[in-house]
Amino acid sequence: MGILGRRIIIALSAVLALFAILLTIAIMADGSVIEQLVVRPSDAQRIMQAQRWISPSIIWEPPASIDTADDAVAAQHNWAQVKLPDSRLMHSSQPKTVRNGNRTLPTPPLVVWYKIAFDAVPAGSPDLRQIYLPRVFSEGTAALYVDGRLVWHTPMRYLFNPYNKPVLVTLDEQRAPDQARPHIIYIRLAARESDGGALSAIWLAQSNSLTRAFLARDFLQVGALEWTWYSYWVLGALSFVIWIRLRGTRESGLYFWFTATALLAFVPSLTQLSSDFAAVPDDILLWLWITGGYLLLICDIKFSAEIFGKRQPIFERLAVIVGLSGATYVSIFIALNSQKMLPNVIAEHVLLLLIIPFFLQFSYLCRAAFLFRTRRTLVIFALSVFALIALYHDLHFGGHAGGAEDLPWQPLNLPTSFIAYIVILFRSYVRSIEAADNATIALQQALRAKEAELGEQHQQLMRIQQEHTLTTERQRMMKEMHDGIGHSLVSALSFVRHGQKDPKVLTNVLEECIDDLKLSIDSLEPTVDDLLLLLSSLRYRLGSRLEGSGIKLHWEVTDVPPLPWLDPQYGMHILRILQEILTNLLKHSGADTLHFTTITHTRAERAGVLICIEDNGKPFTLPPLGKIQPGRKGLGNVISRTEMLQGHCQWQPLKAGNRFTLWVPLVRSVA
Amino acid sequence: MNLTPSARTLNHVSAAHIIEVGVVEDDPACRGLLTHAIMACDDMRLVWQAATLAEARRYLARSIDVLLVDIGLPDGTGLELIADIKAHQPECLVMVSTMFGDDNNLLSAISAGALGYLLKDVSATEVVEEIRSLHAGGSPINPMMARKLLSQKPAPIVAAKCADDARGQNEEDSVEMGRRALGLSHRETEVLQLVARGFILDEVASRIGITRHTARSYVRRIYQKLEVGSRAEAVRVAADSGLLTER
Repeated sequence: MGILGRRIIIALSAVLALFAILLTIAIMADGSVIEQLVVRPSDAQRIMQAQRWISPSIIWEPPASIDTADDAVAAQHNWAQVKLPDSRLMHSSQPKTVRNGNRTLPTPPLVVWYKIAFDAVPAGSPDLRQIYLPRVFSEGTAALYVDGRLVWHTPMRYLFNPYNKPVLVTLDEQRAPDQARPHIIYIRLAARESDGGALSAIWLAQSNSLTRAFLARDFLQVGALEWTWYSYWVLGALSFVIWIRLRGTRESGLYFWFTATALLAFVPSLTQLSSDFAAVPDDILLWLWITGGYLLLICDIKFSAEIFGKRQPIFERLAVIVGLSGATYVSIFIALNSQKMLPNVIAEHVLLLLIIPFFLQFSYLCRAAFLFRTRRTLVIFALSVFALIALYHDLHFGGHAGGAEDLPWQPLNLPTSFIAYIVILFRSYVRSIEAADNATIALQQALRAKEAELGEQHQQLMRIQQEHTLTTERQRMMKEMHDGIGHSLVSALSFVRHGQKDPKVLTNVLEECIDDLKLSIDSLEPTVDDLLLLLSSLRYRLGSRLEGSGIKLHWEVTDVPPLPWLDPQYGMHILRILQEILTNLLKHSGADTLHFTTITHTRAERAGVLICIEDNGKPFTLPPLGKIQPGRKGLGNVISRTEMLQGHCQWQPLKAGNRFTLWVPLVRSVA
Repeated sequence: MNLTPSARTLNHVSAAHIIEVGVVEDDPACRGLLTHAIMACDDMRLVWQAATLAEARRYLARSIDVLLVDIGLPDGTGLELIADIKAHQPECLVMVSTMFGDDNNLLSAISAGALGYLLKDVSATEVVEEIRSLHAGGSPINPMMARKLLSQKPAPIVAAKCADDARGQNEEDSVEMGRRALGLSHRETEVLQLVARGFILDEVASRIGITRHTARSYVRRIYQKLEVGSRAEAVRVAADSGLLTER
């Protein structure tokens, strides 16, 4: 979808929204707009005139028919002409109100009769079919009579009358078309004088054309409100589930208090929907209404605090104290007095107390709006200002000064605050998801930074290690050069200098030099813990020289476990030790057979490998260890090298021959 | 130094034809030793000798049985010469002369087609013995070489094939990997393992019940497998880089 398409949609939405707002304002300003929009003038007739008579009757319940009325209303001639809608039916000349507060002696009502004479329908046209009253309000009873017959009445109630429920009466009786005759409509209202009542204009139709008007008004005054309640409850349930999931986190408070608020959100509009609670006694509804109002105060303030994200601890504590104590007081008061007082009298005692929570909540929101000045606080403040205006409007209307056909404004609180709360909850939900995303990104960045740091440290460590390895290896090579080939070459040189001319001797010395060199080279080979490979290289280097000296070598190695510590340095130690021993054997024993053996061997409870060299020559004892032999590096090195290996060596002359053993451990202990 | 041909050598002359040898060695002393040893034998003939790569390349067309070549030459490496001689005379047996017998160049030389090596400090007798042995179908080996052959890394294709069962760094696995890498038979692997444990080929032969000659011919087969493997790898690399695209 292109940008143009999106702009068209936005423009259309704006136009529609403007239209909806204008329509709402028009309907709020004058409720009769509904009927004017829905009903065609040709179909129905709006009666704006009526006759009114204030009856001396003190009976609440409407009579079953006009003929049985106690005040003989049909015979009255003292009717006054009034305009409809008519309200504020006050100030009767006869003071009939007795306030004794005793339930067994109900206050007598003020009874008002209205009479509308409907002209005779001409013969041939349909008869009167529908009577529609947009509003009949009476804090007591209301009844409608057509041709002397009771066709509709409210239940007897002192409070919570279904005044928002429009009245539609469809007459079933069909008369003969030629029997044209006039109709008389009576409406009886009985209410306490102080409470008054109101009557809207009366719509009459000869067809069913008023049904649409009835449905439209019914929806606006009752249906829409009911749907808002249900939506609140559904959202409250959802919010409750979210709260269970989030319990214990910082966000959870928002969802908990939204759940509580949604649960009680119906309370303020309870009076507007009372038609649905016909079976519930007035005092129970009154209790629900007022205690609910107090509890809602707590929830509202707590929820607002969660939305604002900023606390006003004093207000919040005050709200809890006022809410709980108010609810408790009202509960006790109603429980104690419900038998003694009429519900409307009880209401007079407790209703005024509602000013305290209302004032508290309003000042809380004022302060929040002033202190925080965020968009949220301003929206909620604006909503509460509207609620105040709506309350004023409805009270004013309730006092019957306004038009009886006006719609109540308070129900509008519910959908508007509903939408506002949904938007706020949605935004906080989206924000928390974004926060989680951002946290993940930040975490990944931190991880990458740490990885880079670690990598660098590792590199540094590697460099240091490499340098260390190089240094150690250099030192080792230096030592080997010095002890090995260097020494051999010096010996060879001294032989020549001292006049040694025998080429056999010289060849021997030079061969030794090359052997030393080869062993040094072999020690550089990474043998990877393989002792046998190390020994095999020794054999490869020295084997031919042994055989050249006429010695038969018996290679009798067996597989031995790997020696993890066997690096080039330790490998060199082993090679040098064995080289030294073999050289000595060659020189002194005169043997012709040599056995070279390896086996695994445990020594002093340590697992290890035993290397054994045995000859069959002349037994001899090695010179004292450490003493330098002419032309050789000395056996002292054998001992020191063995110590470095943490091993053990032994020279043992036999009956016929000699045996040298070198034992090395499988695992070297860390020095 | 004994340059007199032995009785056995003389018998050999009558039985087989003269071994024609080429020598490439930059060190005059070493070259002298080699040429003298060869010329002193009745069953061998020195066909040509060279001190540099360029000089040796001039003789490529001259037919020889055995080429003795030093790896480090003043104007190049002996490896290049091995490839050249293999291209001109595939039947020529190449023997590399080496100081210690364990350097990595030796393995490269075998991959390039060499089938034997000669240590530089050996006596004249040993030189001619090695040439004869090579000509007779055997190849020398030492523990370090055996070890290197056993731990040959398989080519990528082979590696993928045996990745499932030859994981890890321990010896068993690396031996198995080397075996698979070169496509060695169990007998060939056994020979290599024994050599790596210090047994000389004579001992290896008697241990597994074969003749000395067979043991040496096993070694030759192993070298040939290494050469074939490296050639296959070269073909694979060439194919990957698009050098073998059909026109």
